[in-house]
Amino acid sequence: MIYDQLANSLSRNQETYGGLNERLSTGKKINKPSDDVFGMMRAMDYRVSINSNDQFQRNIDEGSLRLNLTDTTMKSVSDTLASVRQLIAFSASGVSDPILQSTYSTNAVQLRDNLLSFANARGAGQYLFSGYRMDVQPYTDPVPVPPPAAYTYQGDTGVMNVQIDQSQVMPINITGNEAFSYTLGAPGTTEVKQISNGMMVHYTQGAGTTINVEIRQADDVQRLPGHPPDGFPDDDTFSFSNVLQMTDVLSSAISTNNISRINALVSPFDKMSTQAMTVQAEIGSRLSQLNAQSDRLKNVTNTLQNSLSVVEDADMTQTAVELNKTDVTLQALRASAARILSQSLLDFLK
Amino acid sequence: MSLFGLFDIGKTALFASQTALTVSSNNIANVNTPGYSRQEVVLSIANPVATAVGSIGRGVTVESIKRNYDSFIQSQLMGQEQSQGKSAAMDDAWGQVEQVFNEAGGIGLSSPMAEFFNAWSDVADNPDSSTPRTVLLQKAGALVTSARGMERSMLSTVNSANAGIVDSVRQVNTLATNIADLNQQIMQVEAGSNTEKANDLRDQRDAKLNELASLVDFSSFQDSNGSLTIIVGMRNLVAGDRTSVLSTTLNNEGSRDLSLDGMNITSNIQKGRISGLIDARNDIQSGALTGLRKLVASVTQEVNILHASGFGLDASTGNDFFNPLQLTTTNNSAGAGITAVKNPPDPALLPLDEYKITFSAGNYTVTNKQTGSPLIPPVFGLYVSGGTISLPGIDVVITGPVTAADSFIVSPITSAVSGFGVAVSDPRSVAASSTLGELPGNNVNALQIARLTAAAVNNLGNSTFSDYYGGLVSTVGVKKQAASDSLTFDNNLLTALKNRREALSGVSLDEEATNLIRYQRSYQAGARMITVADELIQTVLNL
Repeated sequence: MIYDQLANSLSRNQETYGGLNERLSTGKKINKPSDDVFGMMRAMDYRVSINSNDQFQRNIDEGSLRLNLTDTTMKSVSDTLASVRQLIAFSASGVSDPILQSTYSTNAVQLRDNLLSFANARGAGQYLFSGYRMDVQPYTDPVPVPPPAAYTYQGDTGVMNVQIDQSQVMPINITGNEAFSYTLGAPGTTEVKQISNGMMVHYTQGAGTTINVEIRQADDVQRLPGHPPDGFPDDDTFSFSNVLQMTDVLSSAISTNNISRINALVSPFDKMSTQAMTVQAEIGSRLSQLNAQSDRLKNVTNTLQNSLSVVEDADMTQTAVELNKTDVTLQALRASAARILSQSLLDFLK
Repeated sequence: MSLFGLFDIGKTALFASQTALTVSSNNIANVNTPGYSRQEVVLSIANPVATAVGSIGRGVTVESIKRNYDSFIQSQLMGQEQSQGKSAAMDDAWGQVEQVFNEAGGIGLSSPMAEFFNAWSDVADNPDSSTPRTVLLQKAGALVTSARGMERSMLSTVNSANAGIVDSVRQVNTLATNIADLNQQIMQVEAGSNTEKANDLRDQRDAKLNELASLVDFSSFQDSNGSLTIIVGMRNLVAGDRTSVLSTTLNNEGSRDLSLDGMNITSNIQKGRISGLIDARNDIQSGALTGLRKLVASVTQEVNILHASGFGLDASTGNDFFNPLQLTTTNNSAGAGITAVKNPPDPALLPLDEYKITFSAGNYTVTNKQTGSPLIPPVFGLYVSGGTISLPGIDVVITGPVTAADSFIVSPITSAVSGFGVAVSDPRSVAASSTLGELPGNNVNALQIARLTAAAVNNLGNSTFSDYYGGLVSTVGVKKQAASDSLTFDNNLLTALKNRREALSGVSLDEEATNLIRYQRSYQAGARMITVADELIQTVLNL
């Protein structure tokens, strides 16, 4: 009986010892679900949340990367537009010096090509401004083979979202139409402006982002809006659907010293600059939202990690103390066992 | 009384001491024999002779050799052995299953599942790139591997439980034969006597009974001739020197049932290792295993539904992401056959329930296999061979003659895990886009699939995948906790009872050493008495 009891006590203590040892070696107090079912559940919940937060964080990083690239590009676009407007200002009243004219003309071509390269900018192998069709160059080259016409938008209006929270998505792209075109409103909407040489310019919204421009004599101003060109020799029409085509028109107007056309482009370029600024503001606000969300996620993850540690991690000091206690008990048990087991009446008989 | 009477008294003293020494020696020899009960001699005064001056004693006789034994403790001990046997088996089985769901050790489905859906999120971040798509297919493969590994582990626990039952039954039969043999010997030894003389045989039989008790619960009673009748599950296992053979049969579920004397006694077994194995096996099958299958089935279904509606970079559409769910039918009929097809074929309209079709008086009734209750609205009717039985999302056709004993089971989830696999092999076929014309940048479908993690799934009782899985883990944890708690309790109680038995029946070497000396001395004194008597007679002869 004594033997059995000793054996039992020894094995019980050794079991405790083993459990404490496991706790110490893994650093966790929950090593299997049955150790603490409720704690385990909470730990799992926390871990799932941390895991999805990490994923949202990754999504935010991806989005920020793209938006930052777009932002940088848009800044260059704005700068270029400012140069274009300067060029217009220089050449608006006509340039008589042929050398200066050719310089301006070359300058305009250069600005146009700059804008084209910005509009066709790529980041991480994707075109930034072609909507969903990120594998397609958004704007055609000056001499596209085969046609469509030069500087035609090939992308679409797709807005790519990434998930930044359980219930929130964030658009991370700007389409070419948003960045490089503007509209006057519903098709048919017309705006009339008188330019410095007294001509009247009619801007009419066509299909998509196309804007048809008609330059008329001042006495023609009473004609009904949308009236087809009446064939007067003083009527001049052209159209564009994005800033590249606008700049293209501008460069040829400068080279031919077409003051009406140059002046007619003042208002569209103003509108384009405003548009570019709006887009930049939009990107800025998205980026700051992403930053805020990222900070929030980091905080939440931190809190969750703390809670996880509280639920799951063993208190090392306590565990070590308990281990010591069990150790002492075990030693005492062994010592007393040695004393008790050696006691037998038979030892004292001759 | 003659002088020679002294020899007789001396002789009885010698014999009594010798017997007592023998008994003590036997006790010492059996100090470590399990189940041995300490024996002691019961001495009494030999019939005295009446004389004129009063009665004079005639020495000592050994009345009997008593076994220190308490039948009450013994029966308590057997009961506790039964409880402990069950707890130990359940603790063991749930311990194995717990390891399958050991999220604390980083094992289980939680992280492969999260990573799978995260991979969809990554695809949504870069829908035109092939890297996240390739990663997605790898993560999907990892999810499949984990789920199948978990099912395999649980099935192996179930199988080892079944093997354990077969093994235990073999032990029960061996023990039954041993007990029947002992019964016979005890009957022979004790024939014609009113006292329990067969001490050692009875000890042996008690030890066998304890062994039997740890395997299976039984009731027993002792006949007047000393033989013990053992009843397991309301059928005789041992009666006198005869035994019935306990056997196992495979039931409809492919699990082992017990039968004794031609009757299925599975449900009558409440305790012992066999009962623990049966309970644990049934619990694992209907709980954790079915739960895992249901979870995997709904992941398959939900992902497939969305995936089929989307478009891959190669313009492919209508493809399943995972292998579609297959219907499994179980035929428990000798004469009839069954076929089941998904109708309509749309996976969105297939509830993940299992159905049982039973027959009575020419009519069929369908019940939900998990809950055992009839469907709502009920499905029943006159059985017509070859007629179509319409279950939610499934059409069943049974052909051939059926009997009331027949049943059929139709399940969309039984093979959900074993058939779980990634159906998409080309990363470009991963349908991240919701519109054909918006390739490759459209990520709407990938976003939707990634957001399934937060979606309440109808088939899982409107909980999310991870919540449902959490429920599974906690159920397993609670089961294991309960099993190990009751094992600790039963072990403690068993130890206490064994201690009590030891206190009464155990051999104390100190006590036996004392007895040795005592009877050695009394033997010496008895011998001395004979010497004295001899000298007295010598004296008389020398007169």
